[in-house]
Amino acid sequence: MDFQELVDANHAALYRFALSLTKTEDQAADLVQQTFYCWAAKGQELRNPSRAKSWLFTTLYREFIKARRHESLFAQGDLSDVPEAITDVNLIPNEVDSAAMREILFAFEEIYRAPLVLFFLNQLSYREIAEALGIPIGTVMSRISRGKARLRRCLSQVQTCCPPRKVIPMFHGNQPAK
Amino acid sequence: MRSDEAKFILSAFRPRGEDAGDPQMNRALVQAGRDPELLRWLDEAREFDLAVASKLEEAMPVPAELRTNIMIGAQVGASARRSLRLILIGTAAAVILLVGSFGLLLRPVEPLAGWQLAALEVIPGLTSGQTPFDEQSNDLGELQDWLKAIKAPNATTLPLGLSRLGALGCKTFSWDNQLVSIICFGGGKGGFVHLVIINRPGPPNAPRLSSPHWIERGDWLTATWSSGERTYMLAMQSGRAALKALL
Repeated sequence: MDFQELVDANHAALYRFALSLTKTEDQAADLVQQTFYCWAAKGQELRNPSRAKSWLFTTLYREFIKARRHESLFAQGDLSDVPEAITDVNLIPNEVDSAAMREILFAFEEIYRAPLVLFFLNQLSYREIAEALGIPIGTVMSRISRGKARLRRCLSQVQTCCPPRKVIPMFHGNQPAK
Repeated sequence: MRSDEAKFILSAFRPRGEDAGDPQMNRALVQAGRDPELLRWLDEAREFDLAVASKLEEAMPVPAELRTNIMIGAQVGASARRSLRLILIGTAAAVILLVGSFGLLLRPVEPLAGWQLAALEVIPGLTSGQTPFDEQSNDLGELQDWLKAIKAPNATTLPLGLSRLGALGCKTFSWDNQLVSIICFGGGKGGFVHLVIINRPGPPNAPRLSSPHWIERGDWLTATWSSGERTYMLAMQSGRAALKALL
């Protein structure tokens, strides 16, 4: 796979993962560019090309951690208010608008948000997520399971309390001068 | 495997079934096949996961310019790395060239017009990403429409070779109360190529596209020609052969 194919196949999912980490569009775009820069510099040395995707997600997360280390220590999340048992699925989030979904997920602590977003992006297996985030497989499963339970609870609250909102599209790039 | 264990594992099962071949997931799926209640739970969980994934994708649109910026960043980075590797070779070559350059110094330096020099100042910022494009698109037609919309100088006739390259974006700036347009292209054999346009007719004996005026300036090689009411400059940091191939 050449560089252009690699970018085409992965930049969108990487950007969404980066956005879930940084929560700002500009920082997410910078992080994705930095990740591909790392690939251009070192990624070609990867022996197994089939692991390129996993390598990119791992590198993006490491670059994020590196950048964050300069800012502050991570606040470790506490989901003690979330029931351990896996709740039954009794709603489909079609009625919740996408902006509200993003808001709910972005409010999660990073240690839960990262594995959950990686899971929903559908790009990596739970084993690859564990590798990308540098945590044990069991912890990934636990965080996905508990994170989803919490998401369901939040969504049910939004559905019962708030009507769907209008989403104002965000512009990217420069617009012609008016 | 108990059903509650299977449910815990299947929470991490991707809804389109990509993980079905995983041994641990496989055992949990076998258990789901034996337990109708667990199977019902799994079906609903997959429906839930797909709906969330779709909402998230919708909520996180990918900026249109991201892909182009990645490609530009990688090319600029690669060029910097190549430069580093070539330093030793370059130093040795420079000594040899220095001797030869004494001869070149005796030749008169052909001047570029002010708008051309100004464009060569603007272009490095565009390729390094430090200066944003005014309009970014891989579609040359879109860039031309945009230039037309803001009444900026536009290319009415393009060199044939340029149409084979991918457009990156365009930028306008004002020089001597006149608008100058720059359209950047990527994918050329020698790297980026830049077409600079100004609404200024050349003199009666102005060079035509078929026999442009070649001028070297620092790292730049430029080809200038006039057509109708416009003067064009094609600029590239590469050899004459690469630039000539585009005309």
